[in-house]
Amino acid sequence: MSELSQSRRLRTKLRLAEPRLAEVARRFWGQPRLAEAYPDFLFLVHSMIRTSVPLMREAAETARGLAPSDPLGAPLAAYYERHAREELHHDDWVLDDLEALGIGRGEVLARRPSTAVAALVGAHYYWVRHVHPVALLGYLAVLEGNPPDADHLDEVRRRTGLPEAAFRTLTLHAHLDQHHRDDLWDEIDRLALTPDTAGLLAVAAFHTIEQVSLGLEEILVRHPG
Amino acid sequence: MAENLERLTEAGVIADEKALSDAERKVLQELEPEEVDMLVRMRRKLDDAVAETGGGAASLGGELQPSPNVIV
Repeated sequence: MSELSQSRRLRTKLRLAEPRLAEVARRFWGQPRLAEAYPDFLFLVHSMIRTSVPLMREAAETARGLAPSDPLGAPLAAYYERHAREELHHDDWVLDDLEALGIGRGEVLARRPSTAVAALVGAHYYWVRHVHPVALLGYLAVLEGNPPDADHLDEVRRRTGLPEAAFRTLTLHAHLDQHHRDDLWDEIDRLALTPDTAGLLAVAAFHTIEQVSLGLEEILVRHPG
Repeated sequence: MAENLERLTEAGVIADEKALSDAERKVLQELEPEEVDMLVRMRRKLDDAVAETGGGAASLGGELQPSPNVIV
């Protein structure tokens, strides 16, 4: 029996957890009042995306500190530094999309983010600082592992009647995240993961799935169909 | 551990154990207890949501799932 690569092992685990998020996503994107809920969805996305670069920089710094004695330190630091540069200003793109819906930047930045986002991002800061920065790959595996689908976004836009400008960030990520996802799987395959670090990576990915699901459920409660 | 597969199947996390390849089976046998616990809890929440909303349950793998469109 041939062994699966490390990224295939992770994806085997993710397949077991993803139905939780897929079920919520199906309810969210299929709801009849999606046009009213979509600004809250973009706010949720912004709440998460604004933390991407700071989180990756934090992880890079921690990984650099591990480098002399931990074989994961140097490659993780290099990956997070490179990927943080690739993700720069994506939070501004979401603010632009919200502005296209008539929601100003000040209003977005003054709004308190969901506790699900705090639990998601806060857990990763904890794992990065106090356990191991490899955990952040679990977060990225979920959020970049399922890129938006351009055809689906077109269908949502037609169904809601919302302006195309409100979908620019998601549409761009439909293309960008296919490359980021492939880079991530390659990176995971290059790392010298131990059973312990591979387990942490999976736990972080499962936590990401759960908290994103909760974030979407909060919006569904706010906008009952 | 074979008991991982039993527990995941009993909880409905794995819909059809026979559909797993030997390599996938090995990955799941080697899951840590924390990973199994989290998967079982998530499945329970999924089942609760399906019961509450009357939607169809999503099953393990195989079928194409729509992207949640959540991004970094």
